[in-house]
Amino acid sequence: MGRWVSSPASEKHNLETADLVARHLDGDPRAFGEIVKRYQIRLLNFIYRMIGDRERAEDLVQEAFIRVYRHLHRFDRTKKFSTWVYTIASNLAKNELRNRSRSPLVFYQSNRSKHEEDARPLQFEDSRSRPDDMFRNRHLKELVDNTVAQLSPHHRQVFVLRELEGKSYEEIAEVTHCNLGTVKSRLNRARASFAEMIAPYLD
Amino acid sequence: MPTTLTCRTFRRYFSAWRDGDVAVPTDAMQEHATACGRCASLARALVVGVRVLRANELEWPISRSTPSIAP
Repeated sequence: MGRWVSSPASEKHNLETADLVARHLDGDPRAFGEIVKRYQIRLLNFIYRMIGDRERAEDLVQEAFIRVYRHLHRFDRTKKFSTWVYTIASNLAKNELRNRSRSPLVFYQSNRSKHEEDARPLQFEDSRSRPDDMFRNRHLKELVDNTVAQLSPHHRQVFVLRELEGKSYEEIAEVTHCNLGTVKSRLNRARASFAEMIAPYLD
Repeated sequence: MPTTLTCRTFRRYFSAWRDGDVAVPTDAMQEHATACGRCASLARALVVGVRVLRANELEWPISRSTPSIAP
């Protein structure tokens, strides 16, 4: 709770990003690299949660930055840069899901990538954990991953933007091209579905 | 133990409550969450689930260079 109002740190972050955008447009060759460093991990996680395929998410992050680079001169600098970047990423993720639904081959490949990724070690496992704790953590991670993947794309999008990316309702409305009422309603349903699917395994 | 909110109302307000919306009757929500095991379980599931998601965020892969647009 309490992430509703933007913090002084996020205001500072926005000002610094606006400065980087201005520097890039003024021809500073290092500025765009700084923008990439600032957003690449956030976009990777956002797109990954949307499409469920890590390798493809990495490709789409690169594609997002190519689009940002090409169109940055047209970006309205009175608007928030991060919202614009997430909108580009969101559109790419939606296109990916649309293409996947039309192509069984792509769907198969994405499933295979996801399966391969499951073999990676868990980030929150540590070597001092007891085996039963490690088993429980792994089970919980798989449960949560599967639960997010089972949300509808519309619900998953607002859920990830709010819970993982910490976006305000207004920013989510802009990224998803929805009104505030729709954002709140989808978020409420997404949270309820998420909780209902997980609760039986925690009790 | 009866509470001032029904489960249906609690769940309608729950998302806004989590986001700290001042229009939500916070005391009544807290009271219901304390008294109703089923609603408390859902609230806990959301908190735990989101915590797990955040703890398992991806890092940019070392094997893959940072995206570069430079010609």
